[in-house]
Amino acid sequence: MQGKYYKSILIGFIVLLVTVISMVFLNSPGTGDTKYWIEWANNADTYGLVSGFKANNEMYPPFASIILLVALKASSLLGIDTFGAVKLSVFLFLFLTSFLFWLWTRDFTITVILHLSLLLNSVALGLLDIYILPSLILSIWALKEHKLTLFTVFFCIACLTKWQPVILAPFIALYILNIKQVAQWKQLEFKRLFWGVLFPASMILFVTISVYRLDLIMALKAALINNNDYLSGYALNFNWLLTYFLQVLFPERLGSLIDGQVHLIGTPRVVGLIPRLLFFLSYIITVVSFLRCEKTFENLTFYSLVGYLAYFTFNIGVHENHLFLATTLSIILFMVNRKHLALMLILILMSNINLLVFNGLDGGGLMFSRVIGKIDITLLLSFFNVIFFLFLWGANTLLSKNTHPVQEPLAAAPTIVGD
Amino acid sequence: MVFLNSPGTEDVGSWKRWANNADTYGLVSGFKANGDMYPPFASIILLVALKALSLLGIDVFGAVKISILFSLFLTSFIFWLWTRDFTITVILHLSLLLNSVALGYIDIFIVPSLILSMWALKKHKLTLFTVFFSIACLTKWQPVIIAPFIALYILNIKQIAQWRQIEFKRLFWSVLFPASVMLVLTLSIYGLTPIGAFKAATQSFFLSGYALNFNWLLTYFLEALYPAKYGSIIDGQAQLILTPSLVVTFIPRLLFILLYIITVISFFRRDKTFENLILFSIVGYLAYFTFNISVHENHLFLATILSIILFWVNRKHLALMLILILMFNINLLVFYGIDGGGLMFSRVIGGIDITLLLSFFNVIFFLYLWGANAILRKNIHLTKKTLSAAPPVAGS
Repeated sequence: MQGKYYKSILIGFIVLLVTVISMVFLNSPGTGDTKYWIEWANNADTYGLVSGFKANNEMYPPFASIILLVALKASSLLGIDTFGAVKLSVFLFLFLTSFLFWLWTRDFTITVILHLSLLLNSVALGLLDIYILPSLILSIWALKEHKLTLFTVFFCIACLTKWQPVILAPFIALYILNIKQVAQWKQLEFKRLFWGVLFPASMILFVTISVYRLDLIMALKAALINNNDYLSGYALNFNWLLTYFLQVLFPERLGSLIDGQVHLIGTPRVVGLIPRLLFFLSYIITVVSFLRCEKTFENLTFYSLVGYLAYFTFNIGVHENHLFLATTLSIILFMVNRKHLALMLILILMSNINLLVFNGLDGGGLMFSRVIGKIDITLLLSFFNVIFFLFLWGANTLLSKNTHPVQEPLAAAPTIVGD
Repeated sequence: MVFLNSPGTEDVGSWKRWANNADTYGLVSGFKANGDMYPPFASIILLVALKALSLLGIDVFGAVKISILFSLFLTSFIFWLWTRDFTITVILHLSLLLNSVALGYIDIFIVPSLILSMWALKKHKLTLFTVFFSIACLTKWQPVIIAPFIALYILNIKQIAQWRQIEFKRLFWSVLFPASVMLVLTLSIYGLTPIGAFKAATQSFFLSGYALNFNWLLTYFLEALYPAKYGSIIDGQAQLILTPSLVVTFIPRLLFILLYIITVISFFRRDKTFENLILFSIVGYLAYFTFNISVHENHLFLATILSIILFWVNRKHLALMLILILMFNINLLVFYGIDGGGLMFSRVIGGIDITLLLSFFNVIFFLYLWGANAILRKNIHLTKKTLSAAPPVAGS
C-alpha cells in the first residue's frame, strides 16, 4: 500500500471524482446560445451538412455543425434528444481535450487544472469553444515536435471549427519562419514551407470552400462585421468600461444603466474606431516584438497569449467566453515553464469570473445584483483586466528584450530557416 | 466581492436573527434567545460586525456578509503569514470562497483562530495553542472532533506504559489550566446555555443534512424502500429525512465511533510528527463526515483546511488536498448552487441522482484512505527535517 500504489490509487480517485463532477452539469440548460446549437444540429440533420450550414446563417465556420450532427445521430441511437446530444458532445470533447493534453504532457496535475478550468465554459454553460481544443492541442503538439504537416492539418481543423485560433496565426507563422529580421528571408527553406504548411492548408481550404462555397466566406464576413454589433459582448474589457461611460453620458441614445448595472449596447460608428485602433496597434507591436525574439516554443506561447489578450482587451464584439483560448495557452505555458504560474492563475480566474458574473453556473445569470457600494462589480473586473493586460503587454513588448530565453527542455523553432 | 450580494443559504436568516438578538437583548440573553446549537462566540462576531457596520449605514444582511468576507481575508492573511507560501494561500482562499462569501456560512469565523492554533502547536507554543483552539471550539463545535489527535500529539507517547514520561506540570499549566479558565469564564457568563447548545448539536435528527456520505445513500434507500414512512424520492432526487429511530441510526453511529476510535489508536502508535497529526486528524474527521448522523453539507470545510495545511507540510499530499477541495465544494454546489438557491436543473442523470454517485465516491474514498493509513500503514509518514516533531510534553 505504500509509494506508487497509494499515489496511483489517489489519482484514480481524482479521475473518478472529476468525471462525476463534470456529469453534475449535464442537465444545466446553459446560455441562450444552446438553442442555436440545437437549431444547427437539427438543420444539419434535416437539410444535410451543406444546406444545413447555409440555413444556420451564422458566423461560425462549418466544422462545428459536423460535430453537432455526429453527436445528434449517435445520441439518437440511444434515444437521447438534441439537447442531450449537444451536452454529451461538449462533455466528450472536454474529456478528449484533457486526455490529449495528458498524452502530450504526461502531467496529471496540469491536466486536472485544464479540465476544471474549462468545465464552466463547456459542460455547465454549454458553449462550443471546447470543440476546437482537441485539434488545437494536437496542432500545438505537432508544432512543438516540428511535424509541420500535422500541425497544419490540426490547426486548420481548429480554425474551421471556430475562428479564434486565426488570431494566433501570425505568431505561429513567425515561429515557423524562425527569422528575427525581414532581411533574413533568403535563409527560408521555401520548399519545406510550401509542402509542410502552405500546400496542406490550401488543400483543406480549397476542399472546404468547394464543399461549402460562398457560405464559408459569408460566415467569416459575418464574424468580422456582424460580430461587431456589440461594443462588448459581455467581455470584461476596455469596451465594457466604454459601454458603461456611454450609458451614463448618453442614456437617451444608448439606454441607461439598469439598477446600476451595465448592459449590452451596439457599437456607435465613431466610438468603435478607437478600440479597434488600440487593438491593431497593441497586436502589431506584439507581433513585431515576437519577430525580434528568440523563436522558442515558450516565447511563441507567451506572445500568442499577449497578442490574443490584445484582441480580448480592445477589439469590439468580443464575447465573455473568448478568454477560453487565453486560458488554454496559459496552461500550456505553465506546462512549459513553471514560472508562469501566476499568469496562468490570473487567466483562469479572469476567464471563469467573466463567465460566472453574466451567466451564473447554468446560463441563467446571477440571482443577485452585481452592484457593490453603487459600483457594478463588472467595472472593477474590466478595469483589472485592462490594467493587467497593459502591464503584461508593456513589460514584454516595450520594456523587455528576450525575457523568455531558450531553455534546455524547450523545443526550438522548427528549422525552416536553413543553416 | 462579486458574491457579497449573494443571498446565501437559508442559514443566513439565522445569522441575521442572532445578530439582532445580540443587539436587542445583549450578548448573553441574545445567545439564549437564539435557541440554537452553535457555541456563543459566533454571536459575538456577528454583534461586532453589526455595530461596526451600522455606523456606515449597512444593514444586518450586509454586516453578516462583510464579516464573512473579512474573516475570509483574515484567514488567508494569517495562513500566508504562517506559511509565506502565496500559491497555497490562494488555493486556501479560493477553496473557501463558495462556503463563505457566496453561500454565507459562518464556518469561516473559526478558521483564523484554528490556523493560529495550528501554528502555535507546530511552534510548541502550547498556551497560545490552547487559547486559539478554545476560541475556535467556542465559535463552532467541529474542531472538537480533532481534539483527541491533538491531545495525543501533545502527549507524544506511543504506549500507555510511557505515561511516566509525560510532563504533567507543563501540560497542566500550558493546556489544562488555560482551557479550563476559558471554559469556566464562558460558562460563568453564559450559564449552562452553551452546554445545551452542544447537547442540541449532538442530538439533531437529520440522517444526513445534505452531506454526501453513507447516510445520504441510506436516505435514498429508505425513501425508495419505505416511501410511506420516510417520504418518497421527488423527481428522482433524494430528500432530507429526519429520524430519531435507533434502528436506522445505530449502525451509522457505530461505524463512526468504531472507525474513529481505530484512527485515534492508530495515531497513538505512530510517530507524533506534525504531518501525521494533520493526516490522522483528517482521517478521523472524515470518519465523522462519512458515517455520523446529522452531518451537514458544509462540514467538510475543516477537512479541506487540514488537507491544505497537510499539502503545505508535504507536497506529496497534493492528490488528497485536491480530492477534499473538490468533495467539499461540489457538496455545497450540488445542493445550493452559487447563491444558496440551489441548482436550477435536475440532479438526475440517466435515472440516477448524481448525489448518490458522489456519496458513493466519498464513502469508498474514505474507506480507502482510512484503510491505507489507519490499518495498513506503519509510520510511512516519517519525520523529515523540514517537519516539526511533537511538542516535548513527554520527557526524553
